[in-house]
Amino acid sequence: MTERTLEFDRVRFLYDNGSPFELSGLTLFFRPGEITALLGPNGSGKTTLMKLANRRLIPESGQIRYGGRPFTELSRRAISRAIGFVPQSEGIAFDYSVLDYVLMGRAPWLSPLAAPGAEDAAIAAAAIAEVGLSAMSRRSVRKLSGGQVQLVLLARVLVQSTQVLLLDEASSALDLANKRLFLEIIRSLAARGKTIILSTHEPAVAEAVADQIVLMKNGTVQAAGPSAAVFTEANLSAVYDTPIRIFPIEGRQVVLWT
Amino acid sequence: MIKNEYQIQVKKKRRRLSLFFLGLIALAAVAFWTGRYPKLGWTRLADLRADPIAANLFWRLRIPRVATALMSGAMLGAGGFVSQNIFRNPLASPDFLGVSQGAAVGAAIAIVFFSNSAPLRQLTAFCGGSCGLLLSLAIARRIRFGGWVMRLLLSGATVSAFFSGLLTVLKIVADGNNELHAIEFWIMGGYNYVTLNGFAPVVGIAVVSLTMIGLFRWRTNLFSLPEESALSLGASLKGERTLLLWFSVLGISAITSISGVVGWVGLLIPHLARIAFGTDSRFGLSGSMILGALITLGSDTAIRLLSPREIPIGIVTAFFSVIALAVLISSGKVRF
Repeated sequence: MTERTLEFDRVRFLYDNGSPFELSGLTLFFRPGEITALLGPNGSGKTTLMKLANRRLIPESGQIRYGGRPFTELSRRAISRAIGFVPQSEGIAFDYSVLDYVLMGRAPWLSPLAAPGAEDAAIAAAAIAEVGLSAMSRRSVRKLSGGQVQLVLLARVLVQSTQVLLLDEASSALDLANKRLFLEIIRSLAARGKTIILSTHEPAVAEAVADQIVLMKNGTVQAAGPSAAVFTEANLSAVYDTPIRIFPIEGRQVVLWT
Repeated sequence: MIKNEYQIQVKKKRRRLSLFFLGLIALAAVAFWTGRYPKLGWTRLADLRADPIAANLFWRLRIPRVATALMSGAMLGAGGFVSQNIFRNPLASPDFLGVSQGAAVGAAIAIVFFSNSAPLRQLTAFCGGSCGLLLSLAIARRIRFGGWVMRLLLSGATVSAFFSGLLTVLKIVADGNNELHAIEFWIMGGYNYVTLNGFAPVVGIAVVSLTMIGLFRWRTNLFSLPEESALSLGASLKGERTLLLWFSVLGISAITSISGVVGWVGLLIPHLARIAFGTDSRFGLSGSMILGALITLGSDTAIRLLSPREIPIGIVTAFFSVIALAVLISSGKVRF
């Protein structure tokens, strides 16, 4: 069981603001080297699941474990070294340079009173190069496009060098070429043994990259398993409440909806 | 190579910080050794030895005043930078949390009801400032919508409005000859009431606050991120963020309790520091302390030397800051 990096064990969660939304009976595990895609309509619980996995939210009942140890036993610092999170977008209040912004990803590895040094700068520079933004490393993040900001956020989680990466619709604003770059980076991370969990509204993206697909609806898991088994017209139509057709073209799955 | 470039940038910023720091030391030296007695200009050692009044002025008035002006600017700069980052709002300053207004009410109470006794005024101003913060926090906790930042800004505005109302009541109650004047002067801010009495603990608190904030100068960056991202990078919102905020408020209320409200410095200086030293709080925050001290000490020294009568420094800093802010906003150097 040691190979299960992140586990959800009968997790139940309710928001305390009176919202009727409930996440229940969540039992999932995420292995090293495996890419898991979360699919489901708006409000199905994908983001809530991400927040639970990031310990932003605490389950009502059930347990979330990392490396066999319950979240409650791990310090915030230990979790920040193990689990990285990329939001869909981020409100940026000040004119940070791309490099300074990415360097913040080194925080879990620096002592509380330290600042990043030459080694950290080298790590950040490599990550910025990996997402193709080297030419912009001194540009203000507030002057970048939505897609470029998503690449900066990806670079930041790369320098955080965590075992688990949570990507919450992190490729939604990317153009076609950058989406391909994004998927290549994800694949190479998985090939290096990282655990990837991504949520997306694009079934084609999920199908193209994921080993495991989790279909969610109304806070429960409708289907979970290897992509090929879960990614069916019947499953998707049921989850999205809309007729969906899948056409295999040149080895890829094209999803059409009416 | 980005890596080398980064090292060069770091060196450049360090050099610039050192340069400004040297400038501050030079200014402080000038401030200590110039005055209007026995005659306008440099104070000579011979004067201090020969003239007991000159010596008294130097030790009992000028040294406390210069030290307070210096710490006041540094503290306002640091507090402003920290609160802008924590509230992720370029317009935030401790004034937004009801601290300044609370302190003003506290001071006015001492002025009206306790015959303006200096140590008591400091105590009540400090209590008033803390009350403002505690009240803002308490109300923010009860608001059930919005993020923490918006809740705190909302409750801060409410508390400030409440204290402004109280202050108006106190001004009506105040005796029109002396008390009203004292309240007005305190609201406009100035270092001319600072004397050897009670100045040491205030400067001590400011030094401790600045040191604590300075230690976390790089991690202050993390709090400018949305909470979720800050948390996932291991920043402790309950621990570190609260600590930074409390030391900002503590230092600023301590200083405000003897100087009155020196407005606008806490808002403007962090923006100037970001332009001069970069947004990275490791340099921006240190720069904000140095620039703040340069502005307040520079203004106060100019007032001392150029004007035979006291001009409240709050007016000078407000004029300077508002004009500078207008220029920076219209030229696009500061964006909200």
